[in-house]
Amino acid sequence: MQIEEVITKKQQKEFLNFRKKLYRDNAVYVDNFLFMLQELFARKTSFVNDKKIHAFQVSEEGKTVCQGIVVYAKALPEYIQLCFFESLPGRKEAAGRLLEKAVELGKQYQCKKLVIGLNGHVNYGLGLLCNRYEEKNSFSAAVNPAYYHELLGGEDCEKIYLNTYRTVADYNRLKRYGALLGKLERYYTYRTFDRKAFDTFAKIYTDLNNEAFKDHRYYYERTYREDREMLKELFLFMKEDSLIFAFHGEKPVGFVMWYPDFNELAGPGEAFGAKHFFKNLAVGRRITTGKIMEYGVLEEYRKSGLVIGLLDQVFKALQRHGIQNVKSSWILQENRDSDSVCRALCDEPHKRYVVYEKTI
Amino acid sequence: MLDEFRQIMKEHYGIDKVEPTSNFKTDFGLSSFDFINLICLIEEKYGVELEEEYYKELNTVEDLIIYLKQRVGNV
Repeated sequence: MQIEEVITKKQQKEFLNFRKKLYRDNAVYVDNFLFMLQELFARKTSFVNDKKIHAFQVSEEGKTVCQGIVVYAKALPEYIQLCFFESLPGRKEAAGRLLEKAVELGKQYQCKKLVIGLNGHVNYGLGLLCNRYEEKNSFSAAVNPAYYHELLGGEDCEKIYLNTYRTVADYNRLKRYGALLGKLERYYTYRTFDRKAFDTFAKIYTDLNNEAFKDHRYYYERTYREDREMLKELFLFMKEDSLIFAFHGEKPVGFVMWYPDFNELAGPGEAFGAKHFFKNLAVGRRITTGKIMEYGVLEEYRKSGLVIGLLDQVFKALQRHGIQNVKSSWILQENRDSDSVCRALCDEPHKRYVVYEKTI
Repeated sequence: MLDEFRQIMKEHYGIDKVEPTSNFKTDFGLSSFDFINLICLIEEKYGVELEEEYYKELNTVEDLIIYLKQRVGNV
């Protein structure tokens, strides 16, 4: 068994092929990270900025059995991250070699902890799936086989749990907050993202993210460039009403991002891309589920219940687009505010994810 | 004021048993947003605005009534 750093184009190709093969016949898997990894290797994405990135593969008899990318983000210096982990079943020793390598690098960068399940920044993904393996992953959601927990989650790990929620997009759920919504309308206005003023709105998004999430676990500041790049990609598929801002006077104070679950358009084992979107658009195929990706409100406006106003805007947009169901993205279980929002509007927690942390 | 409050709780939340000591969270099971909505209903009814910084001190019906009386006088 040997571990080697992925450096050459040939090795990078092998790295990408390993994940393709691993999920090729998985009927409930859509790959939302393949293109990102391709860009990462080509260093064409701002993901690589201000980070030290080391991809590794562990092989036996010339064949890859396990792989991952170790990331050190300068803005998150406490942690060394093991991202995009993939493995064949039963390869505990190989996974152990990868973990050792991550720890070794972590010590080199003077990190205190190893975190497994964070993909560089929370905006690129957080958590390893730990239930409902038989259900298709929603757009941008993590997915992995159950055996990854045997390989990664030892007793020496701290476990941080995340939940997603789902419900039928029933507008009656919001009617119970009629008095609150009435009051919010008097104080706040809502504006959708304006592509004609792309940079202005993208900057508002970045500023709100950085302010609203600054105290959240694993979050660190995003740059205008990173978010502009991410939004450019998302707006290839998203409509302007997928990113909605709340203003108090002229001051942006909150936002919500949602989008249709584009993975409904892709087949098993495929990497979702523009071809799926435009092909299905042409035949008028409808997506049935919307996914609320993130919402944030500046701290001084949180007690107003503004998040309900933002979600009211989302539910109205879902109605306009004929979308019947709604799911949330992951929410840290420790984030009681966000958890209570979802519990107020949804039937039940849906999928559960875990992040592992190890002191090094 | 307690009777009016009982009426609001019944009409909007289907809650019949309302005592001065009833706790919004533990007795009524109100979420934080249900609670803010309740505040908005009361604001509409009495034509006052309750200050957000006091929300966290309003745990029981009695807390709310006392605070409300301070704001609007005895009704």
